Amino acid sequence: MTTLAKTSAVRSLATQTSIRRKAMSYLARSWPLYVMVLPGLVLLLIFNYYPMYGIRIAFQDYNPALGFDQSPWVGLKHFEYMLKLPTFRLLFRNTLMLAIGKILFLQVTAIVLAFMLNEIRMRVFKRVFNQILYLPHFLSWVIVAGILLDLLSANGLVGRFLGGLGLNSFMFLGNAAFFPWTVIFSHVWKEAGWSTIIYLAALTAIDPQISEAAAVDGANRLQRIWYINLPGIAPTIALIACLSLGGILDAGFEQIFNLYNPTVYATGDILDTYVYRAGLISARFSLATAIGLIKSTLGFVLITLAYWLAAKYANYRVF
Amino acid sequence: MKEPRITRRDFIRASVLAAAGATLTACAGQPTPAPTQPPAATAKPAATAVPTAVPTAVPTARPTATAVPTAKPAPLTAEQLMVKAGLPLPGLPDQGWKYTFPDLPPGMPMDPPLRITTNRIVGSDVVFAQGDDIDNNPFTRMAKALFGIEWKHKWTAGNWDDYTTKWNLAVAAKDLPDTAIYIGGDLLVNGLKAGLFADITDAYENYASKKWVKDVFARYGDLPWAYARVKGRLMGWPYVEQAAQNDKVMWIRKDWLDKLGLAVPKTLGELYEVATAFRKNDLGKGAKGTTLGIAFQQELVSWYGSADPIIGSIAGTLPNFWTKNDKGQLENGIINPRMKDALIFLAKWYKEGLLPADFATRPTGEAQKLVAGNLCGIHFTPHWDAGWGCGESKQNDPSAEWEAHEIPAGPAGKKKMWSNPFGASIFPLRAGLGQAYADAYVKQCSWLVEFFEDPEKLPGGSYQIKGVTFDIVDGAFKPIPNVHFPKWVPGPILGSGNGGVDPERAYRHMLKTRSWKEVPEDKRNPYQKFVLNDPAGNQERYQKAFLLNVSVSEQQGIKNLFNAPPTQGMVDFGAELNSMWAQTWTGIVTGQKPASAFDEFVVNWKKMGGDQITKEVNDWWQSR
Repeated sequence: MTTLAKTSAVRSLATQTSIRRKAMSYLARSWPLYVMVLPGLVLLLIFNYYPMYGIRIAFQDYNPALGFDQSPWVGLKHFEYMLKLPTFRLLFRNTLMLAIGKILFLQVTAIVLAFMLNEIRMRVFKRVFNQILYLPHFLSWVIVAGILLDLLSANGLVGRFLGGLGLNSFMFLGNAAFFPWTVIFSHVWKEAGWSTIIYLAALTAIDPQISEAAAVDGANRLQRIWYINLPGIAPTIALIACLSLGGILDAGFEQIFNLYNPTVYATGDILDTYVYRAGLISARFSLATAIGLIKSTLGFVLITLAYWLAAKYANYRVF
Repeated sequence: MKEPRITRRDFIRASVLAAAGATLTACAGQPTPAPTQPPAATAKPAATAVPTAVPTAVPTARPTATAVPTAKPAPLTAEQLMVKAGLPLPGLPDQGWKYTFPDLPPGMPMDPPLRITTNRIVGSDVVFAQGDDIDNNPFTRMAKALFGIEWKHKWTAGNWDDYTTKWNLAVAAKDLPDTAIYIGGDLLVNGLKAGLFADITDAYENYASKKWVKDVFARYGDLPWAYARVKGRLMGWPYVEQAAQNDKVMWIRKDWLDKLGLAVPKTLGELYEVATAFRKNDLGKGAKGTTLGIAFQQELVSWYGSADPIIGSIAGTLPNFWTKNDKGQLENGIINPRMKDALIFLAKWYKEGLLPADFATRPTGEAQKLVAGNLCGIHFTPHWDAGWGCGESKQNDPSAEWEAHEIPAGPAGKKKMWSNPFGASIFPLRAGLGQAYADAYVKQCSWLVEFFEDPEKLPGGSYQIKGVTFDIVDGAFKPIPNVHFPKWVPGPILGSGNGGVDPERAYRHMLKTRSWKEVPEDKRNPYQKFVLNDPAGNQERYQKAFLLNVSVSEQQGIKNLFNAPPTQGMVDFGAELNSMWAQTWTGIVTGQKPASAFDEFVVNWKKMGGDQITKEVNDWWQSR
């Protein structure tokens, strides 16, 4: 027993020294890299990890005047309250529906657009169309929402047109059944161009010789798209689909906040807008943090899952 | 031994002293040159006891300090202090436009001056004259000269949300300004819980003017101190708006009525007919068929284009107003069964296109554009709209004749919101500051009240400085646009919300201004001429509406009987209940929900915390 222990101790000592030596030589070689990483790491710690200390207010009745230390601990009170909220299920459902709808419609539109752009032969046209399609991405939602509100108002362009048909244009923003579609389509309009970039890149990676060969064999454009281009970018599509999972609880605060109103809370109110109203407007920091914490936890799980799926099906790895 | 060497510093010091001495002798026209400063300057460069700072102070400060004999220092009046500090006097004293400064509070101006830090909301309405800024403007210079208070802004915010966030950050960082503005709601509840605010009771008892402050507050019973008084102690100065500030009148287009041969509507039924006639005849200036029955926006009870006179006249109460029910208990008007009738009434208006189709997406302030753009002929807005929405409407369409009338009667009579002039927020001082700060603060407030609320002292109710807020062009008064003295004042008196003590101050000033009509034309001073010259009729329209509003305020106003910081239940469930309410009523009015959705709402409201809040409010009412 004792000898065994002794030998293993000796061995481990030996391995330790060898490990230490290796580590030293490794460090001697690569310390500049670590120094270069250091500032980023410090910033990450300060701005991403240190604030997590504040998560504790989800478990307190936080009063800014009393601070983190003095505010009374209340355990899971806010989580219980949140789960008991009749609107919580609704919020969750709205968030999921809107996010999934957005991802689905956006990616499909982007893929179709990418194919169309890819088929344009004249470089000038291609460039111009590209730029025009990218443009809305750079507008902030405040501006886009302002334009939409005006377009759809009773005296706006669309409003006048629909008014002539005896319709009320307010339904797009004020009718609970239509509102999600307004949200989804305005999102698609704004982001579709930008989302084509990655597909276009994937398309250029396909060897043009395959296409040319197919053309010689008599395949028309649609057939070439269907049998060559689509399978060619399939891994990219799978990758994007997997990674989108991570953002499935982000239904776009900025957009909805600027477009919604009480009439459409039933289908348009999402977790983020509720957190804003409860947390910042009504100063219930603890509840807002609790909801945010739940959302982040779920988001973390989903991202891990997405990464795993991406690694499995699209062979995509960061590390 | 060290050799006495003349260093460069000694040389500079000597030359400064010499220069100062020379200036002193040059300036001293009187035979009493400052005796304490003998020709020291020239001779003794090594007189190191004389600090370098002194010489610069000598020429200005010393002669006055010593010129007044030590026997009886007759204190300077406010006016003399202003002149001494080189500040312009308001008005045009040589043309009969004079202001009377009240006596200064005891012990003021303080020497050395006391620096008080504060915070502000600085919106686009706060404009400074050229070269001035928030810490250096006619008011801060006046405060320094008269009170010996140096105002310094620790931080400013652009709007309310911004202000709340900054305040919470400052609280968390334990870095509060000495005084703060508008602390209400959660900020007040949390601040009191944490003991952030100083007790100003003693300062108030000692230095608040009896006539101008204490007696005035006493007239209004419990209301003024509903938020600032905690267990009998005053934890801040209340914020007081003006009487009838947010009471609505019915603004109606007289010229449209005449065109259609209609009378001013007296009941809600008649109002409906008039609104329908306006719409059918498409009298508005917008595109074809866009005339509305009434201006309306996303809030039922608000400050512009409000529905409170309609709801009040139907239901006799208002949402989130606590009034007595049949059992003598306080009840939130939000669940009153008659509220359903009001919503059905509005739903009918909406269906017939009398309300803007997209009102639910329109922020409150945008209703003003409906009026200014001549899209509607009726709206419920306070008297001050005479020169804003109605005024702009007339600019855009010279034929527009807006008239203010009493609101129409409904099943509950003529009932509308009574605006409580005593706001739900306080102006606190930071705890641990010391008595000197509280004293100085109360003294300044009290003096400003006496000056600014007395029509005899402040003609026309406005403080005007030549070259800053007005110019004289061809002998006539010409205001410099957007520059307003009150907006530069920190604290509860004046300020950007025009706060004060007596809710009737604006009314009193208005009566005084009206009385100027009796002054013969050739005797009027430039300001009186300006005020009485009213080509667009805005002034007259405003005054008539104001008089009407004040006269019916007590009788038609629905008072909210719950005046206290939010209860625990309100903090916990308020946001939830209010968003449920907003969904329900906009749903019913826009026809997306049946009227029965209201009954469902009442059940849910009670279940989801409403009952608890009702109990808390009634407990408060009993224990009052």
